[in-house]
Amino acid sequence: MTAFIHPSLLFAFCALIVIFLPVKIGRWFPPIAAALAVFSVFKMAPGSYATFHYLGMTLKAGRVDALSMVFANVFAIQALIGFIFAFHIEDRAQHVAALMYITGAFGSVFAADYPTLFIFWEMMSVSSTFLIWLRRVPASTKAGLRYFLFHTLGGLMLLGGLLLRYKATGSWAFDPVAPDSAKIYDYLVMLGFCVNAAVIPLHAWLPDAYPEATVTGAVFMSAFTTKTAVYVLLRGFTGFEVLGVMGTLMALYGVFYATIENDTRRILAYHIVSQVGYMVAGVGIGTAMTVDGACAHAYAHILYKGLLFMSTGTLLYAAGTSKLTELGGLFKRLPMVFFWYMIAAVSISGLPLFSGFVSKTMTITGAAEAHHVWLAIGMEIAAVGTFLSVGIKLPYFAFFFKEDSGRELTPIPWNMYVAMAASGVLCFIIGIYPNLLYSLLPHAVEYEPYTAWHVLQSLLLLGFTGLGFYIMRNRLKPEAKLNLDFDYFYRLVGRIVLAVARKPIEVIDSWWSEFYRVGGLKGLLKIAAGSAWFDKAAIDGVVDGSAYSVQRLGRVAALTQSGRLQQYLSTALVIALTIFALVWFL
Amino acid sequence: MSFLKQIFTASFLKKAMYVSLLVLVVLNLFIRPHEPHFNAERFPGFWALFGAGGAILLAFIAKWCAHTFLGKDVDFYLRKEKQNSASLKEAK
Repeated sequence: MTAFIHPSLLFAFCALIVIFLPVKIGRWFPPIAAALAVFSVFKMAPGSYATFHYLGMTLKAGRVDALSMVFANVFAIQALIGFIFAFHIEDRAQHVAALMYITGAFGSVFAADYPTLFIFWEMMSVSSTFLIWLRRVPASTKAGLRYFLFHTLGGLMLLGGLLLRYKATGSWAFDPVAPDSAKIYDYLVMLGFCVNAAVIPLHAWLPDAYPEATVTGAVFMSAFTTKTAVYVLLRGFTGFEVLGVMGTLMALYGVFYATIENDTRRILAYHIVSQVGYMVAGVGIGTAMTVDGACAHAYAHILYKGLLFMSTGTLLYAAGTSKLTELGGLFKRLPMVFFWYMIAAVSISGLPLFSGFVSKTMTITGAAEAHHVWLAIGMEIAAVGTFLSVGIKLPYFAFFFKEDSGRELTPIPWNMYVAMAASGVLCFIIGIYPNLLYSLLPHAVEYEPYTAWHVLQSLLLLGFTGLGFYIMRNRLKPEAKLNLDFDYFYRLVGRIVLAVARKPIEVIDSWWSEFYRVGGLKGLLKIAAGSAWFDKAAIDGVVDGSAYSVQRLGRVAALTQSGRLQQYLSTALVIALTIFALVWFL
Repeated sequence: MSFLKQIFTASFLKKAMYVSLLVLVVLNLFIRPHEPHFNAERFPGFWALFGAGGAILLAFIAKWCAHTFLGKDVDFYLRKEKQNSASLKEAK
């Protein structure tokens, strides 16, 4: 018998426990929930579970098949590692936000219909915003708000697409779309997914927000948001050629910015854009091999990117800064952080024996074999850039380069080292036993990474990239600068909205206030006075009481006439809702 | 440790790097791609050139962009925000 326990239930229930317990006790529960999730994922058998009927819709929250199982598998493992890494934190809100975030990620992976997907999708967006805000510094408050606004935009595109889709087809099912019969609503849904996958030019929220998140929040976020998006793209939109091109552009774009960035966590954030580019390209090319490559790369990426964010997060935690210009010479005092960082760095660069090698070469070979030679070359250039910036530049300037400044280092808790070691070992195991990973893939493609040629090609590429760095090392020196990206335009939109609000709307508003001050209020008072006069003069003594009432009404009416547009709107809304409620219930 | 330091001097490491790179290129004469995806790949040392050339070009172009139009002061957006809030106060 195989029971299906939805991992989201475990995490949501755990969040409920953590809220009510003292944090010293409560923090033990997230790793336990994650361990149970790992267990439940390994016990899972393909099938359709957790079907509900709600408001005439049939919701399926438990679609378990090869594709969802690959992602659930690595999500559960990374959740466990992440919660071990975050164990020392004595801020209950951070644990709860991370738990709800992972609840959303698992819910999205197992959802077989759009309404369920949408609910979990938004749960991720809201709770990940808290992972940014809970760093509790002004920069993260602002970055979190921008992040949330942009994800709301993505969520609205998804919502618009799924509603239009329902209207046209009468189905809520979340199933693959054939590229040649895709309609406008399918593209809307795809755009919504592309926001979360950080497809350029919708990517700038990522390098803007991730470096401002909490140390542990960034570890969680690097794993789930973009990879859930890759999963839904794989589920719905394989074979869309536009994704193949955009993915390769992402891969190049990310390394380009990583080359010039100064903040270590921002360099890594740009490398998420770049690495997710490989996966999006794999989805877009859409052959069995590239789809498998995208899955394998997502799996490997979650582990090594988590490790990269853990080790640079540890640097930030210990040294108090993540800027390369302020770091340097830390090798002697933080050798183990350097060691685990380098394991992740050679994994992402695709050095033989490490996880990136067995997944990245699969995607690139798949692209070339599908006759997309230019895309394959683009991805090779991105591989050069990856090793250049993450593999050499970042560690060189953070751990060596100059003498240790002697800055005071906060002692690093043991659990951070445990989590890093677990990740590092997994990166290595996948690198030497690639079949462990390949056996999880949906298409089970025959691909042998360890041929003499593949190994030599990787070594040539990486070795000579090293030579390139050596030649250009002075030009590559990090600078304390801010590099403009597409978020310049996002902010421009914000400023335009502000300008519109200030100029035309303010003019109308003040005109409206003036009108009421002169016309409305005085008019009402005059009517009240007039009726009082009429009352006194004509029917005085007959209906004395009514005159007072009218006078009172006049006063009350005058009170409500504040001349504030927003009050009028809200009153109108309340009245409309009341009428609507009466019509609905009577 | 001092024994190791004596061996791994900077000049030794540099030489070791050059030698190992050379070995890789020499190996490329004998180990050839099983299914070359494009013609240039057949030339021994193509991927060596690709790696070094790619890294140098990327460093050159990216830094050029950063120096000419992408790089701004760290408080670039902060100043914009301040301008905005100042003009808001003015309007009030």
